[in-house]
Amino acid sequence: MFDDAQLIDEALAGDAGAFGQLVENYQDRLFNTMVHVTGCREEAEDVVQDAFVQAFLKLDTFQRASAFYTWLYRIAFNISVSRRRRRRPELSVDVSRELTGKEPVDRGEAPEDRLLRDEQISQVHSALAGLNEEHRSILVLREIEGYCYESISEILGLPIGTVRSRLHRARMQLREELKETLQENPE
Amino acid sequence: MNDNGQENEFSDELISAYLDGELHGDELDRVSEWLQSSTEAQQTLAELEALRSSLQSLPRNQMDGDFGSRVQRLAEKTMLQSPANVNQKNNIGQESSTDQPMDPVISPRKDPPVTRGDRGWYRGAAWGVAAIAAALAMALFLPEREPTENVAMQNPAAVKDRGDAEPGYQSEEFRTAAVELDGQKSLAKESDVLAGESGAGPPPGENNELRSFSAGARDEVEHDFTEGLGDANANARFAGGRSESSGERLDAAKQRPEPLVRARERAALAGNLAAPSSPAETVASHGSVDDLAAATSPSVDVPMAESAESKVGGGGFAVKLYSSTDQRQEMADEAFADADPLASLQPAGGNGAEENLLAMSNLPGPPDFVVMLDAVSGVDVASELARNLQAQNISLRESPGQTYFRRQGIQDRDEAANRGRELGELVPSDKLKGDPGFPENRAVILDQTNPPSDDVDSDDTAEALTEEPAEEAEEAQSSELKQDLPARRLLDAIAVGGTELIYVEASRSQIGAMLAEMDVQAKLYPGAALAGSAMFGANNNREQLRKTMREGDAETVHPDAGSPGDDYEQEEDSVESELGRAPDIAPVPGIDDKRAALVRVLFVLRTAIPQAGAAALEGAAQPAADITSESSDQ
Repeated sequence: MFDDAQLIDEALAGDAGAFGQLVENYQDRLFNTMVHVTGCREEAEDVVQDAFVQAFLKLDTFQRASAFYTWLYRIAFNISVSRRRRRRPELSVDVSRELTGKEPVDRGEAPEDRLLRDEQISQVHSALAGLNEEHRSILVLREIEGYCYESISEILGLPIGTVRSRLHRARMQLREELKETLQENPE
Repeated sequence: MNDNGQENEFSDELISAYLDGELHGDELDRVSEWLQSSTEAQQTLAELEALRSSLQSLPRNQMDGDFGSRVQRLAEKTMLQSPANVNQKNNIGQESSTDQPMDPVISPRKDPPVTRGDRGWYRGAAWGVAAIAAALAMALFLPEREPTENVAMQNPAAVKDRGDAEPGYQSEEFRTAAVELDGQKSLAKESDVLAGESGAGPPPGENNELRSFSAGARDEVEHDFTEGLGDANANARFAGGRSESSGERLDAAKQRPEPLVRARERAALAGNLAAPSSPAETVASHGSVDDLAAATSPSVDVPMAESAESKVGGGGFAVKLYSSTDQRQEMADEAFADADPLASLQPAGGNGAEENLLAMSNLPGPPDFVVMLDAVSGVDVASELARNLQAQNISLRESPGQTYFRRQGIQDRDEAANRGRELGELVPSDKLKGDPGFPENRAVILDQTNPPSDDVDSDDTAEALTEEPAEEAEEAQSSELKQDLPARRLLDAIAVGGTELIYVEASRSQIGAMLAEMDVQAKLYPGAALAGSAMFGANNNREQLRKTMREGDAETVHPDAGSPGDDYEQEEDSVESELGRAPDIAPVPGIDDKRAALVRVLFVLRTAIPQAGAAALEGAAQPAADITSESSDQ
């Protein structure tokens, strides 16, 4: 098992397979995150693809002051921001269906449980999609990616105090969106 | 604490941070105390926990199967299409605030952009850059140097700017050199250089040191090459033109401009191919392997060829044409350094060799030459081939396999393979039905005569590649590269159909001109013509060949007959025997007089990046920006 540093060294030496391993290691994680950040599978796929391509092309500028994935995520995030500036986000009621349409189904669930869960998932997706980009991104980084405030600060280029306050506001906004769901299905 | 207004929000923010474990010291103590005493605070915390649970319960999304290869293809394409853009900053960083840069960003390279519009000049300059790149042919065996030293020698500024981490997959040196050097723009100019060397004094701008180096390097090559013959790997080394350490020596080679060598090779190759003899007739009129080898071996005026001939009884070869970017060359060379040159045409050669052999059984006739095209990606090969074929007015005719895949919109090789197996049912063709493995997709036939294929149902399965279908016309306009339809079709064939064989029938001068102009690494194996001849000769019954190959009978054909090496003499008897059993080796039935006058060259594609090609044409990546900075510049 190669660590990132070794794979990066080999990729820089011209071993395309090493970079391929890096892609394999992180593609799903990054894609999953970007699906939530962008609110669209296709958009996320494009973003992730572009991010890896840029990482491939610019690997020699990676100074390794942060983890490779952090650097990669930052590339993806910037690409996402750039793409959104060029094209307004296309949010619709179909987003949640789109997001949940290709997801795996737990065959062990009872049909009614699965339907209920799918509905909840759909609501969460819709609520996330309803947030602004800033709030959605920071929530994904914290709640889905599990980044600490310092890492989020690093990725988003924000002071830690701003991370804390923005994350709180994002949670509050999402809570409002999901209030009904949460009340119906308290944990 | 109260539960109202801004203070309430601040308190909730503390609860949020508490949930995240990001509170310390006094703040942590305060919130812990508050949570013990306030039911409202407890409820807020519970809601935030539920919120977290909801988000974390979302299903994980996964990428589709071949994402990694898609990324690499796109990266390839990006590098090829917009080298300047790779280093271009966009407005992301400028528009974003920068709070605390983590690491300094290495300055973008200052190389002038090279666009497709500049390609003519670019290629011309590339000829001149033979001074740097083309010496590979001779300098393969030169003493090693440290890679970093090489970079420094070529472009000290690059070392300074880039540090030591110049990636092997980028090729800035070539672009830099191409811009900086005023190279010769044609083979004719290189011939002038040769003329200057031969007694007319140094040509304008030529460096005398180059010629003195040329002589020394040639001696080294001869010495190394002769020694190499005794090695068990001599065959591969001959074929690949490399020794085990030649990868490192390539670095040294790049330091030694050597245009004369390449010019000589190219001129010799073009001249030889322009000789007024028909290879088909030659093959028919010679009975022995030696005679055949002599007849099919070009008298290439390079020491390697001489050494090879002396050792392997006339199976000489060794024309190397290097003019691609240095690093791409190196990548391709590294990829095939130890590869058997004819592995892809040998039984049990792996990687589709069997399919290639079957595909060869469907070719119009035995090849007179086998040329290995080694490149990093199918993009390199296809674009160069297509461009030069067009320049020589050689038509492209795709196999039914490519036509089918293209019309079905199949863009994935695995899918193509699966569909290929079904094709026997889908296409009413005896040929296809009889060959469920559908090896036809392995070969693209290029010829001058461009006759309709009689072997397949041509209305549905074969069409001229140069005829652009109306429904694709609009799409073809969408990008500059897509307008280059033959290149695109070739890319499709290579990337989707898995094509590894390009069979060209053309005049000697056309073939010579093609090879002289191609910007991919080409290795000509005239001796390998015997392989094709032997295969066809010994297997006039193509169905028998199919059957034989299916059964894995490696004794039936000896495609490495013309490949020099220690085993050559052993193979010689076998090949001669094979030829002896094939009195009608030439002309091959079905080849009329016109076509018999043509040279048949089988280009065998070897690309370091599998499946590179068609998919790279889809959806250009956005121009690169400085979005990869590690600094915080959101």
